[in-house]
Amino acid sequence: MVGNGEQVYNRLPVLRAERGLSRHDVAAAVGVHYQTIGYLERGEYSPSLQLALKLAAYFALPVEAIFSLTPFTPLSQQLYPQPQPGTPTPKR
Amino acid sequence: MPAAPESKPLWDPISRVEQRHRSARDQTRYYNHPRWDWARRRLVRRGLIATYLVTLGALTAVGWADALRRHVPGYLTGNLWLALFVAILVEQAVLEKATRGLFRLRAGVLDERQRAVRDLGYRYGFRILAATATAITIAAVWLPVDRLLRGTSRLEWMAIAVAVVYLLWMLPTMVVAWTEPDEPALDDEGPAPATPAA
Repeated sequence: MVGNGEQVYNRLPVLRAERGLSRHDVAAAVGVHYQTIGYLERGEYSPSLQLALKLAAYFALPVEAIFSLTPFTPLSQQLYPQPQPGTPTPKR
Repeated sequence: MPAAPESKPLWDPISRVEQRHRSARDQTRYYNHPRWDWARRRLVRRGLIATYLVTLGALTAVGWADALRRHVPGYLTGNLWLALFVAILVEQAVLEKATRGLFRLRAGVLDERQRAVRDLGYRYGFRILAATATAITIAAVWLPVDRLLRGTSRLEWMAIAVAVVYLLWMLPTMVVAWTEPDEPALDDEGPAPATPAA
């Protein structure tokens, strides 16, 4: 992997999908090759601070909403949290 | 009364800066053309490296054999050497397109990842070169190299020099072509633009 060797997780595929953007669109907006966006999405490249900030500005989100050093919780689980096995379900 | 259209000057020179920009754009488009996507798969890239090394070895062997015969005119090896040399040039061109011209394009037209990959190619290439040079030097201490080299003619040295120059020239490209993973597929993409992005 090219980069500093530490895995950086990101939400680029989700953000791109929900806004209907192609890799070419994002790449052109932040000034990189479209394959670089692909490598970022696959987690095979850790972006520089400059590129991370450019992507954050493009999506109008804070950097920590796009990149993280720990895996992101899936959005479905954030919206509809599942009870952990063994915990009682709340009564209605 | 409508205004007369502005007349163009007879001589409209393109500035050197603009010329350089156009040239850089053209080169980027050339090395990133989708026509060469088949060569950008990892397996194909590795196959290309193997073919390149075999051709380079054959070129050296034929050149050496030719030198041993003191370059007899009309001898078969001369034509064979030329054919192998042309093959080397073609293979080089394909390898450069397979790596999207990382070592041909100016740093200014590459993005941060491409520059990092290029640096990695130079770094590993230097390590390979340093290890090989050290191994040869150590071997020279133990082997009767002076006796082996004493009889080497100028033509034989030329055959070796061609191989060494082309190997060193392409070493960083080969390192990158060997180590880079497969490029992300465009399965989830919309139609790609007519001209590839820089």
